[in-house]
Amino acid sequence: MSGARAIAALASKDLRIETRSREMVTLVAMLGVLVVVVLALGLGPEAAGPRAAAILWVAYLFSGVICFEKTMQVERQDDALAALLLAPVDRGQIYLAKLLANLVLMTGTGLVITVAGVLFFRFDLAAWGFAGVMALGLIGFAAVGTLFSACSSSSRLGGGVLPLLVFPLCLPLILASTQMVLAMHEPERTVSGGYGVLVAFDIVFLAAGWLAFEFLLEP
Amino acid sequence: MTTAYAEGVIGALDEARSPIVRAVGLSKWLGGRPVLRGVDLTVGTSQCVALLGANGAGKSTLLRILSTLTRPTAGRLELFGLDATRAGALLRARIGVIGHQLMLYRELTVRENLELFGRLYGLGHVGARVGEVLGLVGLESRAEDRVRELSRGLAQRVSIGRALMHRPELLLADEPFTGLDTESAERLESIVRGHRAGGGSVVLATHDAAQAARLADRVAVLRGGRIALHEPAGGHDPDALAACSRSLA
Amino acid sequence: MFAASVAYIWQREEKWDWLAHAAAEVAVLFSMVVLLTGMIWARKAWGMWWTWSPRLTFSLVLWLLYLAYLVVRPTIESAERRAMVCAVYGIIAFLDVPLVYFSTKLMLDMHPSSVDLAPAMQVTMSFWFAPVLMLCAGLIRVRYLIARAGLEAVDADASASRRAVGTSGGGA
Repeated sequence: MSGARAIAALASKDLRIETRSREMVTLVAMLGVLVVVVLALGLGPEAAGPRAAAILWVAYLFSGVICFEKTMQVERQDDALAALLLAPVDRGQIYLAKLLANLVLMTGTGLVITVAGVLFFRFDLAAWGFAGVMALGLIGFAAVGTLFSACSSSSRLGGGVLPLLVFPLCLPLILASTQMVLAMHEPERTVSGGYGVLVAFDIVFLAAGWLAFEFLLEP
Repeated sequence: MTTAYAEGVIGALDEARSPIVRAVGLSKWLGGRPVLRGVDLTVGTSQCVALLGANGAGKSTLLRILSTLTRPTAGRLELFGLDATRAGALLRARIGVIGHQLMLYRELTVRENLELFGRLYGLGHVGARVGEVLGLVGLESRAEDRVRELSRGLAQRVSIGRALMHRPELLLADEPFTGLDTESAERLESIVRGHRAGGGSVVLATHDAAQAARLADRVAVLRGGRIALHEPAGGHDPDALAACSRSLA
Repeated sequence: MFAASVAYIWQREEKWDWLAHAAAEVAVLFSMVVLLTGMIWARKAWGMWWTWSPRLTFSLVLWLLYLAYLVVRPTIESAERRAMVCAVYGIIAFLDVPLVYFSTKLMLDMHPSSVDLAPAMQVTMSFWFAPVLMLCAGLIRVRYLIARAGLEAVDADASASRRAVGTSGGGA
């Protein structure tokens, strides 16, 4: 079967399951909004402006990790993953399908979180530049998170290991994107090569995830 | 797939063809302890081998290795004459597995589950095949219910349907009769017989010696990770077989 | 560590896992030394313990990366799984290093961008380089040998019974 059709079938399966049990998406979006509110209260609205990217990243990171965890839990329940591994589907395609589903879910919750941020903080997001930077950042984050969500069940800590593994790996993304958003607010500063880091991160970890997913899925 | 079936039937007549399963010296160590210790097993075309044995004797592990989900620590496994450790998608597509667990998505309906796996196996006319399989396992009236809403026995029937969707040549079943009522169990027995009549092979793990004697050509009794007894089932009185498997366990 | 992780996935032998583990321990130790000496130097030079200079940030991220490896490792019970997860993480973390480096370069820098060392200092540097590398290699080797000795002791019973069973091949 052609790869694209397998990926589409699998990703739409994940999205269908998530829309059926709406609790997860609600919970993730709620958590993200709460993070934004807590930081808004802590920092005060004046301090927030240029820190928008950092604040949103904190919210994305926590809601994202839960999202990866839950979409993989669907596979662990009733050992559905075994049936998937038995099917004549390339493991890399399973990875890409999972990643696609995670990205759709995260874009949805990310939008809710960002809208909340704009409301509470009056974030000046410099519109398209900001959206581009954050989109590239989220792709990289989802690439790493989807990969390691496959191994969290084998640890005694369960879901606890996922942030432990994923957050340090994503630091370059966060660093690059926050620096770039800061630079957008300060015209005299130029950040050259910021997009380079983001795009390189996305490409490297999409490829690595595609190749390495197989090894982490082995029961 | 139909051509593969035809080949299977011709293969039964042709002695030179390689067996469906040829396992030599399979061993599996898990957490520093042996689960399987040098298991040899051969299954020919349209044969049925029943695995008997107590809990923890290694039946499930052996079936997982045969299904390519687990790698053996040592030993050699050939499926359809090909090296199974290099198992590619084409080899996996010829195996159907009924597992301990359902291997289904609870939040999807019966039909959606079957359709998904039909697509993943690249079947043409998925809708028609889903209808056939629903008839086979007798679930036409529950097709639109989510698996979560079904009783254990009914869900098990969906799981059987999922394993048969792509008309596998080799059916691996790990205690598939657990949780089934008498009628469902009879239906499954007839499915297994039908599968063999169509040229397919079966490896079946079970607790029930009488059932093993009814369904299988050969019975292998596992004890402590080794095959303790491996004999044709036909000549045996089921009661004697049951007693034997009990004494070995 | 990267090389050992790749070798593990290739050959699936436990020794590569031990080697990767040993290398990660030494990496955490060295980046911690860099962090601490850097902090002491920063206190003298700039009057504060911590500044978000790119170099310090770089060492900090490296330290966190390999520390996460060491923290997660013992929480995975199955030896085979542990080795596999750690090998994949080892490779991914290695791929992350250049990205960390380039992303920290985006930050505002307090360090001199190019270091012009006095000739005498250059000699000192190059003299130091070899022993530090040797120390690094030596530490990895010691940790590796300790891991092997420990696991061999644990495995002694298992492999003895394995031999008694007479299974050909046994576990790798």
